[in-house]
Amino acid sequence: MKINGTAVTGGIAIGKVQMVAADHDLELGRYSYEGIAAEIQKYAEASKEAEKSLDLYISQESLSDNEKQIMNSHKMLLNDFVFSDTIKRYINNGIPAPEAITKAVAEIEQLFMSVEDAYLKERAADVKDVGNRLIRILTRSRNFEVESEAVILIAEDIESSLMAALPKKKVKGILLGNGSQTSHAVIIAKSKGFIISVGVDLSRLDVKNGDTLILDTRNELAFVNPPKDILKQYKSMEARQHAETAQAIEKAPLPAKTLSGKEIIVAANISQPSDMEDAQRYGCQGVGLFRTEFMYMGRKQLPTEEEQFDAYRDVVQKAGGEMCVIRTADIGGDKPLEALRTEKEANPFLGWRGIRIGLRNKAFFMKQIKAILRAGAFGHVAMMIPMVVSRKEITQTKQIVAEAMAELDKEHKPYEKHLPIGIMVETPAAVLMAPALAKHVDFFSIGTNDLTQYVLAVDRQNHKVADLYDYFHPAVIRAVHQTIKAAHQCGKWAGICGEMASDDLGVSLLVALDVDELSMAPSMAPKIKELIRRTKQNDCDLGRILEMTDAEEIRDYLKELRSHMGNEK
Amino acid sequence: MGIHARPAAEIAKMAAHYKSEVILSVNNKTANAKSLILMIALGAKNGTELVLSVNGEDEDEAFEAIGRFIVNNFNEV
Repeated sequence: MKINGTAVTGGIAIGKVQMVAADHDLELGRYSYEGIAAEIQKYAEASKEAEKSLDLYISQESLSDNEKQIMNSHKMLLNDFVFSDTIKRYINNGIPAPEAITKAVAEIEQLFMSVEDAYLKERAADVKDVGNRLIRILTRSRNFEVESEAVILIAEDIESSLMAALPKKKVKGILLGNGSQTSHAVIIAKSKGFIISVGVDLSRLDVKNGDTLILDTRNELAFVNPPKDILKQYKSMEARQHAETAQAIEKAPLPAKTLSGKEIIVAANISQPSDMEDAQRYGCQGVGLFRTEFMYMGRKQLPTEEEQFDAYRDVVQKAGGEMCVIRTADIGGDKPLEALRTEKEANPFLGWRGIRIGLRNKAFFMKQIKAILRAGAFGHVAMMIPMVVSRKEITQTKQIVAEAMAELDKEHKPYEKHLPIGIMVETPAAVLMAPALAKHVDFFSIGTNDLTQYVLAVDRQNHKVADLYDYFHPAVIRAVHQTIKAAHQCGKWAGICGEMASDDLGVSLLVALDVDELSMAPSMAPKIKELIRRTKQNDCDLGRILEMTDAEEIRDYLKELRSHMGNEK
Repeated sequence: MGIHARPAAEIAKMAAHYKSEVILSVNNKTANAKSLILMIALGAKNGTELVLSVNGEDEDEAFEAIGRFIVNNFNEV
């Protein structure tokens, strides 16, 4: 059976179907009203109990920052005098406590209706959630029981407090009718590792309580009461999936130190603050590449300084003291921009892009730099400029940074006074000039995707030549080698933030190249970290690689190394 | 983005520490800053002018602390 919906977490889940009802009608029917004074008392006790359970929940060590924040805001709402006064007002009018809470929640939801900001508006769901928690305590129906050892929950929506309380071991998968991927409940489900699809058309789902269901969210498939052979096949797939993720994720937070004792920082490539959730989950150490283009794309107006600052600060705070490398907007090339009216060019990759745009649109560049500097006051921030070909671009950028600092001084805004500035090494010019450029920057981050295109003169989007694109081409390897060497000779660090960084075939080579940092899609981090831990500095014979003359030769050699590595443990 | 939930919660937490009445106004709407609910309902948007008024026995300290927080986080008072 096809399930149409959005897989928030891809994977396989097998369990018994359990439908979750969203309303409390049944329990409310059994509630006995005991007069105004008694109802006020019952509400006060329920409120105390709710606070205690929230405290208990918040004190769990395994809680993600996100969950902690959500639960803390629930606690504030619970104790908000507007909330309690409204509830008491209804009770004083002779309404039973649970119903008074429902009415108070509705009244506050009404109050939020007029708020234009979508994010704030969504907080109405939190008020409702707190109300439901109280009602469940009052009606003694708070213990939602998961009915078997392996269940797939199906519900129109699941409130976040209930989601948070679901037992990780028993709940295998969740299908929600509600389409929001960013609701608190779904964020919590994700961090608990549930296999979940949202926006599922439940009316077309022909299942009932107790049915056995195989859920394959990645392929949008479900099997109801499947035959034995299919069940067996999926069970082994499910087991493998558990073993792999459990092993890698368990070790993800540990550092990636090679067998020779060098620690390589494994950081995250992100495009927006919400990506930090994954970065934390997969044990990334800060951010190696924050692609800031997302704020500029597909909109008519450029983002304000405040808007950018908000997003950067969010990321920086979530990184909890680890370095966040923010790359200034790399627009142009394959990322044309409406707001700056970038024109159609014959060779966009050789044209108006990256730092070239920034330096000639000073006002626009200044805003972003100020936002980055200000975010620096909230943690550890570095700035990185894309598409550099000469020293002049670095000096000019530094001048603008100095001007930005002077403006911030005048505005009395706190900012990072010693902002490290690095460059993306992605043009052949930057590679050839690396020894000279290294003196003017704090670090290099090698963008192997574009570098490969420029070094090999291959457009990877052109199908006719795409097979020539290979970052294991000896020319690219030499470029990476020279760049890292140049950085180290000046006492600077060098990282890689292209796809090459997360290719498991390349780990032994990158370790041999003495790279200091690898930045990648967060989900790749656990595996790469584990491979680094199994590698010695000289597992890969760099001298031999540098003598090789084509990509196939290098790949074959790396494949052989990789096969040994897999067998070791 | 305006006063997002997190800074709003911070302000409410700070305001609760003081005996004085703490009022935030935006355009012609006002809210008791001790209530997160009222501050969310205020729906202050970025770039709009926020006015902080404090009234009571510890008004000076309250104004100083909350005012500084707002300036540092929103740069508009």
